[in-house]
Amino acid sequence: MSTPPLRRGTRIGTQWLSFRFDGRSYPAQAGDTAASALLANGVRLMGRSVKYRRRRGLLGAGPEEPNALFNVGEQPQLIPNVQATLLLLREGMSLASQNRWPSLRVDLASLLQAGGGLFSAGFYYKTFIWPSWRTYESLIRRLAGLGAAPLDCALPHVAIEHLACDVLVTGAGPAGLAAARAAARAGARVVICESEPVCGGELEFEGGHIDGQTAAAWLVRTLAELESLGARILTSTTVITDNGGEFIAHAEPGGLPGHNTMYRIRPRAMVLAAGALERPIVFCNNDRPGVMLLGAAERYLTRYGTQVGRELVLFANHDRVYASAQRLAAGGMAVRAIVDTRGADALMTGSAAHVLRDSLVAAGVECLAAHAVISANGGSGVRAVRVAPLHGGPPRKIRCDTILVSGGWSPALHGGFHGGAARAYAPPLDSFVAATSTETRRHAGSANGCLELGAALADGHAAGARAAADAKATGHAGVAPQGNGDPSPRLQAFARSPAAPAAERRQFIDLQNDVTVADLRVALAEGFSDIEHVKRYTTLGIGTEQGRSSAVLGAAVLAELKGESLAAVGVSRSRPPYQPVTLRSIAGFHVGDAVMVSRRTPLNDWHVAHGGMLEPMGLWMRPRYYSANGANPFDAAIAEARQVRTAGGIVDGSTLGKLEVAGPDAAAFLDFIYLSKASTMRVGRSKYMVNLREDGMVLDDGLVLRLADDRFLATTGSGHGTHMLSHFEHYRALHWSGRGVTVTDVTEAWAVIVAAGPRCRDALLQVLDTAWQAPIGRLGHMDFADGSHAGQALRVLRASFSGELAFELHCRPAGAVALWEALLAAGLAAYGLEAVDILRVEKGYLTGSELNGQTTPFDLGMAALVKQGNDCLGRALLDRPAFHEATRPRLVGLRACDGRSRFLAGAQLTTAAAPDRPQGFVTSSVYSPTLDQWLGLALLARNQAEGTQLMARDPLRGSDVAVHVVAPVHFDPASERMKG
Amino acid sequence: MQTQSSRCSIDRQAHGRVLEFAAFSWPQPGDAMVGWPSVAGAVRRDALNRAILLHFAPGRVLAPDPSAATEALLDAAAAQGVGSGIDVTGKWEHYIIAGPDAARLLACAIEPGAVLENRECAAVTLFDCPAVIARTHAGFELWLQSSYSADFLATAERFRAALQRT
Repeated sequence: MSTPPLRRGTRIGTQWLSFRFDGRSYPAQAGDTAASALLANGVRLMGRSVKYRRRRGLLGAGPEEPNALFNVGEQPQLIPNVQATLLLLREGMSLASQNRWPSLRVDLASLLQAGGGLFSAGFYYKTFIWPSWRTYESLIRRLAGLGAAPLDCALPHVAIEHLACDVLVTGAGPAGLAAARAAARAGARVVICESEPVCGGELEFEGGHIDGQTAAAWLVRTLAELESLGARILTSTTVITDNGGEFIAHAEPGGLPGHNTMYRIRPRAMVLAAGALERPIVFCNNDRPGVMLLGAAERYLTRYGTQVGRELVLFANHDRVYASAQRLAAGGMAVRAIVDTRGADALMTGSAAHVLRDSLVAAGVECLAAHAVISANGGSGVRAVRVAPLHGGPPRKIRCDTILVSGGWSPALHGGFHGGAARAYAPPLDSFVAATSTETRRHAGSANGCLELGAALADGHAAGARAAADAKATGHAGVAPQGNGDPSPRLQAFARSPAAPAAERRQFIDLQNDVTVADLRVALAEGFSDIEHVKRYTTLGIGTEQGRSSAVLGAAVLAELKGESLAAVGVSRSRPPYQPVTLRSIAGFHVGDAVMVSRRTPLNDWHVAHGGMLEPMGLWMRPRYYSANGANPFDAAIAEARQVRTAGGIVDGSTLGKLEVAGPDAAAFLDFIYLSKASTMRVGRSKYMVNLREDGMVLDDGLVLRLADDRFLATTGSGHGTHMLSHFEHYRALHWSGRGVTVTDVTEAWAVIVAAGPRCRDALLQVLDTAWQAPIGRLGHMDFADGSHAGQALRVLRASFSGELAFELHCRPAGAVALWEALLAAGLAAYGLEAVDILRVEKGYLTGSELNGQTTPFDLGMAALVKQGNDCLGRALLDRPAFHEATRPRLVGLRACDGRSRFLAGAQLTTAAAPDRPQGFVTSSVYSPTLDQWLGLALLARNQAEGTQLMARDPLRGSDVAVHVVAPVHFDPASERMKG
Repeated sequence: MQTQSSRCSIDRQAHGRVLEFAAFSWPQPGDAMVGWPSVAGAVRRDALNRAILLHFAPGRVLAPDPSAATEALLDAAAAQGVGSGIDVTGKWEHYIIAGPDAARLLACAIEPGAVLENRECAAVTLFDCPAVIARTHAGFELWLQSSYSADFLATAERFRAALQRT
C-alpha cells in the first residue's frame, strides 16, 4: 500500500491510518469519512441498489446519501447500513459493501436488471403467485432488504440525557446561530443541535461577510458569545423526531453506533433551522457511479481535499452553479461544461453569476444555456455525458468522468414534521416549507425558504427573538446580524430531462429503492394518483432514505406526469427517525435482562441461593420451583405439591398486592368497590371479595382484612397490584372526592409467607413467640390476629389458596428471611408457583387465566355474591340479557377420560357433533399427584352439562384429548381439610 | 448497596420506621396543616438538615424515621380528620446520589433541574422505578420503592458506564 500525497481540508489532519473495504486495505487521513477516503483512493463503486442490483457510487456527502451504505465490522457483531458519508474512519476499521454476491464488482443478482420490465412498481403484488408465494419466498427473502442483520448485538449501552430548555434550535448554520444568539441574549436557556461535527453550515463553503467581518470570524465570535451566555451546543447531534412537545435527538460522533447518546429535549419553544438538502435532477442512467450532487463535490473538496473527479460536467437550474464551478476549478478539477436548463436570458446582465460565467467561458469552460443532460454514458462509472438543447436539436457527447447535478434545495423539515404538520409550496424554491409557525415551533433560514445569507441571518434572528419571548424570556435580543454571501440562486423549476418512454426505466428518482419515472407512470396508470399512494405502491422514499433526496423530486415528476402543479400534488410524509439509528439506540436501556423492569421480594436472594428457578410474573420475579425437588419443572412441582398435601410447605406470597384503605368512609368505599360488603365484617375478620369493572366483568379478586373500624387491608392478585391501586385511586378521586378515605400501597411494606399443609399449624406454633402460640392456635378460618417471631411483629391470617389448612404470615421485609428459615427448620419445605398452580386447580380456585376480563360473576360461579344485593361498581350492568344467555361460558372442571392423557390450557373444547365449533376452552390444566391424573378448569358454554364428553383440541401443539366435564372443585369439595 | 465511580456514587442509607400520611382531600384549609410542608413539593427538615417530612405528591407526605414530635403532628392531623397515617416501613429504600455526575446520571431518566426547579422534592419514575427525589447538599436523596432497588441499581450502573464512554 503506497502512501498517496497528503490532502488538505478543514476536517482532516496529517496523520495516516489504514482501513479495509471489501477485504482490501486503503490509506486514509485522520478525520476522513469512509466516503472521502474511498473517493481519494479512486474508489467510486460503493454499493448495489436494492432491487436491480445496479452499481452505485456516492450521491451526497452527508445524511442524504442513499447509496453508500456499509456493513461495519464482522459477524456476529456486524453493524449494517452505516452511511459512508457520516462514518469517521478509525485505524483498522473493516468495511464491506452490501447487497452483492459474490463481490461488489461481479454480482449475480444484477442479472435481475435484464428483467427490469418484470420488476416495475408493485411487481410483488402481481408476480410470484403461481404455484404459490412459498415457492419464491426463500429466494426473495435472501435478496430483499438492506445489509445483513447482526447475529449478536454487543453494542454498548446508549447514553440517554433528558434536557429541558427554553429554546431548542436545530441547526447551527447562519440562521440557527442567529436564532440561538438572539434567544440567548434575551435570557433564554438555549440548546443547539447540529448534525455536523462543527458549526457554521454553508458558511464553510460560501464564505461571505457578516457584520463587517469574514463569515469565519463571525462564526468564532458568535460561538464564543453563545458559550458565555450558557447555551449548550450539541454537535454531531440530529433531531430525529418529535414526540408531542418532546424532541428526540441522536448524537453519534463518528457516525458509528457505540458511543452514541439519545437526548430527550423538552423545550418551551423551538426554532427549526436545519437547512435544506440539495436535490438531484433526473436523466437517463443518472444512477451511475460518478453522478453526484454539486454541493457534495464542494464539501469533499473543502473538508477533505478530495477531488470527486478529474473532468466535470455541471448540470443545474440556478445561478449558484457558476460560483461552485469556479471553486471546483480552483480546487484543481477540470470543468468541461456547465449545463444550465434555463434560457440564456436567465442570468441578469452584470450579476455576479453573469460575471462568473463570462470568466469561466474565458477560461475555456463550455456554458450551455437551455440545455439538459440527457443521459450518462458508461457502465461502472461515468465516461461521458450526452447533452441536448431543451427546445429541439440533436444531442451531443461531452467527455467527462463526473456529472455534478443540482436541481435546487428542499428544506429539511423532516425532523420537526413527523407529527404531520402542514407544508406549503414555496415557488422560489420549487419545494415546500412549513405552512405555519406556532408559538412553540418556528422555522428559519433555508429551512424556511431563505437561501441568501443576509435573509437567513435576519430570519434566524427574528425567529430566535420570538421563540425567546414565547418561552417568557424578557431580555433584549439585540440587533440582527447583517450579512452578504452567495446571491439568490434564481432557480427555475426543472425536475427531469426529456426521455423517450422506454428510457424512463433508467431515469432514477429514488436511488436506494430503484424507483424510476417509469414506475411512477405505472402507478398512475393503475389508479394510484395521490402522492401517499404512489409512495407506497412504488416504494418511493421508503427505507432509510425516507425521501431525503427523492421526496420532492418524486412529487415534481409525478406532477409533470399528471399535468398538475407541484403545489397541487404535495409531498409525502416521512417517518421517524430522520436519520437511521440502531434499534439498540431506540430501545435505550430496555434491552436484555432490563427489557422490562423487575421487582424482587425480600426473599429473592434466598430463593436464588437455594435453587429457586425464578420466572417473571407480571413485573415480579418469583420462584417457579426449586431445583433440589426435581430435575425439571414438572417433576419438581409434583414433588412440592405432594409435600404440601402430605406434610406442609411454605411459599413466598410477598408479591400479593396490598392496599391499605383508611378513613371514616373506608368501609363504604370498599362496599362501592367490591361485589360483597366490607362494612358488615368485624375487626379481625377477613373475607374473599371480588370487584367488577363498570361493564360488569370481573376485574380482580382477593382477601380483604378489617384491621380496625376505619382501616382495611385489601389484597390483590400478584400481577395486579399497580393496576388495582390505579383503579381504587381513580374511583376515590372521581366518585369519592372529599370523602374520608385514603388508599395507600403497602405491598412492599409487608412480606408474606404462606404456610400450608396438615403440619403447618404445628410448625407455626413452634416458630411464634410463646405469648402468641395459644391465640394463634385457636384462630378460625378467615380470622387473623397479631403475633410475633423473634420479637418482630407479625400479622397471622388463617386463609388458604391450596385447600389445605394454611396461614398467611405478614411480616416486615427486614424479618422475612429469619421467619422463612425458622419455618423451614420447623419442618416445612419451600414450594414454588408450579406447585401453587397444581394445588389451586385441584381446589378449583381462580387466577388470571379465569379472571381474564371477559368473565362475569355468573360465569365464574359467583351468583351467590351477586344475590347479596350490594349496589357496587359494575352491578348495574350485570342484569344485561346477554350475560344470561345459554352460550355464555361458565367455569367447569375437566378430567381426561382415560385419566392419563395430557391436555393443556388454550385447547378448544368441541363436541363430537360439531368438531369445528368450539364450545369453550381450557383455562388451566395440571397433572394432579393427589388424584393421579390430568385435570383442569375451563370456560364452557352453559348448555354443556356436567358429565358431557368433549374433545380438547389443540392443533398447534398436535393433541386431541377426550375429556369429560365435572365440577370445578376436584379435591375436598367440602373443604374439610382447610377448615378443620 | 453501593455503586461507585470517581464522579458519582449511590449510597444506601440506613433508616428505621417510615410513615406515609395521605390527606382525604387537597388542598386543606390553612390552619389544618400548621407545621407541615404545606405546599406539594416542599420538604421540612430538622436542625441537621435531614428531611423529616417530604410532601412528594399533593396531599401525600413521607415521614422517614419519624420523631415523637413528628408522630404527634401526624396523629393530630389524623384526629382532626385531615387524613390517615400509614406505617409503610419496608416500602422505601433510602439512597444518596452524590458527586459531580450525580445530576447527569439522573438525567438519563429525568431532567432533575426541571423536575426540582420550583420544588424541593417530587415523585418520579427513574428507569421505570417509582421513587421520591429531593435535593441534598451533597447531591440528591432518593426514596426508592424497595422491590425495584436491584433493577434500579443495575440500570444506574449501566448508564454510569455509558457516561464514562461518551
